[in-house]
Amino acid sequence: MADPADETTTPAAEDARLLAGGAFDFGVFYARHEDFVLGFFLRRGRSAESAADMAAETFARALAGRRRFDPARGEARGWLTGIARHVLAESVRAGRTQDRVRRRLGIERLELDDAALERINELAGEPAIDALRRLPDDQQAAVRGRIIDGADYKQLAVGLGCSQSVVRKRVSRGVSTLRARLKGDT
Amino acid sequence: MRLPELHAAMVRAAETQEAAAPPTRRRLLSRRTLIVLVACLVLAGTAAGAVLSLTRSRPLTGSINPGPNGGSSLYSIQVFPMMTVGWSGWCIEAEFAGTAAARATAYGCGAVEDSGPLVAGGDEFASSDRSYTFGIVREDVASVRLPEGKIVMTVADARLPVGTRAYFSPTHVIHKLPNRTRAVTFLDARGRPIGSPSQTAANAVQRLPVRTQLGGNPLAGKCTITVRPLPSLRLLSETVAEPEPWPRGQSGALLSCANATFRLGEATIGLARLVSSTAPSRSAPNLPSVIPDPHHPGLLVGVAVGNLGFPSGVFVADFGGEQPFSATPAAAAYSGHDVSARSAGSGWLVAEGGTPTQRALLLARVSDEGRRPAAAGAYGSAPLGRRSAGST
Repeated sequence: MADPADETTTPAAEDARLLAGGAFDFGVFYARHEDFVLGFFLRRGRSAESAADMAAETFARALAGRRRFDPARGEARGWLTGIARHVLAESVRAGRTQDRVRRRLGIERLELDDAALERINELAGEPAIDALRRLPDDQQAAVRGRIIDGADYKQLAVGLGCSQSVVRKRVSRGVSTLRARLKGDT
Repeated sequence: MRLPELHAAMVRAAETQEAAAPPTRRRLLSRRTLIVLVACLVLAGTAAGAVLSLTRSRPLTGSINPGPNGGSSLYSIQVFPMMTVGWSGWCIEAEFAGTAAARATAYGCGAVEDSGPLVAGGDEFASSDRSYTFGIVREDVASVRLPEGKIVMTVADARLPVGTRAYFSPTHVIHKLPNRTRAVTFLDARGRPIGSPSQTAANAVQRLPVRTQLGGNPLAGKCTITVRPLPSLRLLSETVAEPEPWPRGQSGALLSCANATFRLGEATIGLARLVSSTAPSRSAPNLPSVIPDPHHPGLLVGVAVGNLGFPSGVFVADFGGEQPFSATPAAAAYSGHDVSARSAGSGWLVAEGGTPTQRALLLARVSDEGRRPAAAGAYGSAPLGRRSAGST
């Protein structure tokens, strides 16, 4: 057995070992990266509920595909980031959080109470995210989709149920408001 | 951990996936022991910046440095049955004794809410820069995972309630809100989360109906406290409940079915009768946190574990110094006294307050039998004592 003090064990190798192990090991893997994955979605303007749902789908996909993780290609966070990006992009395209793998694995949707939401929101708190959340709903959705998620105007027009020109106006107004607020904050 | 429910769901899904794996792999996994898992966790914590760490719980008594108020501190954690009539529950205390100005106490009582893994405590209390967590758990709980990822292995101790283990750990997590309760995950010997039964309005535990009598008229019932008369002894009040099997069984739990408060000379002494919470007519579990009284053979003694009159569901923590109950001053009058106890019938009699000799005197005059017929006369009269004794 390896010496616990052996510093030659890399995080990537440790993640690989956990992903190759049993259920308990996967629980440890989850605990190591929960904040990272939730933070990924929060930083992209998702609400705590949405971030939790997308994190559930991300970890479900990681569980389903854990044998494919190759530590030689980098740390697990890079691998998880790739999964999370896919989940986010698919959710934006579909207009709702994707949960295909979570449901296939029989993982029930989380019912979050206030305490859980507070714990998730502790990961947020960045001025830009706060400013984004204060935008009107229509502008917030447009800015999120265009600036953060990288969707094109055509996709957004379909997803938001309006014309491309309306989406452009909402993005423009939202970004202007954000700039003004962030300048004011500083 | 921010979403322990999601963590548990992921582990369950991984178990399902594991069960569907080829047999060779299943056999390999089934041979894994906690020791292996422990080693893996240590590796994980060391190699990846200590996201997770694993440690053994500190014992129930010992010293800790730094203590809650800085500097080295002796500490003690005790648990004792909650003696409020009509309830089955526990009171748990963590006391730190550094210098006189650096004492700290956390104390709380609560009913047995369910038969889940947490028996008592589970609280976390904190000063501005230090925090501690402790709890009494079912004996199948091998470790607990704290929200920040730290895993604490539980310990056994003869001073604990029957069938339980304990954990106590400094957490060094700075809280925005003091004494905030955070979710703890209970793990079995294989590291699998142990779920708690859900509580609903339909299955909520209610206190047993009680009757209270002030003054000298005795109450009839299956569980009372009958004392042979003594010139200097006067009954102040008595509260009784009909002992019924507590609807939510829990290992080692006792049900308080009668309290009485007496004036003995200048002292006020409370008495409680405790029976098994799951089968009141059967032999009750041992009392925790007591030792044989070297000066009074046949009696047990416990230091500062009395809780007669302490309100259920209250948790107080104080880092301010000498007065441990500054948050609720009235509670100090009802708790923290030494107790003496002896077996009586199938259960226990516990006396709280006064001196050891006064408690021993009072306990010697209490009938072992709790049943008192409805036709009993004035409390404290000689015939009452004889009738009560004869009713066995």
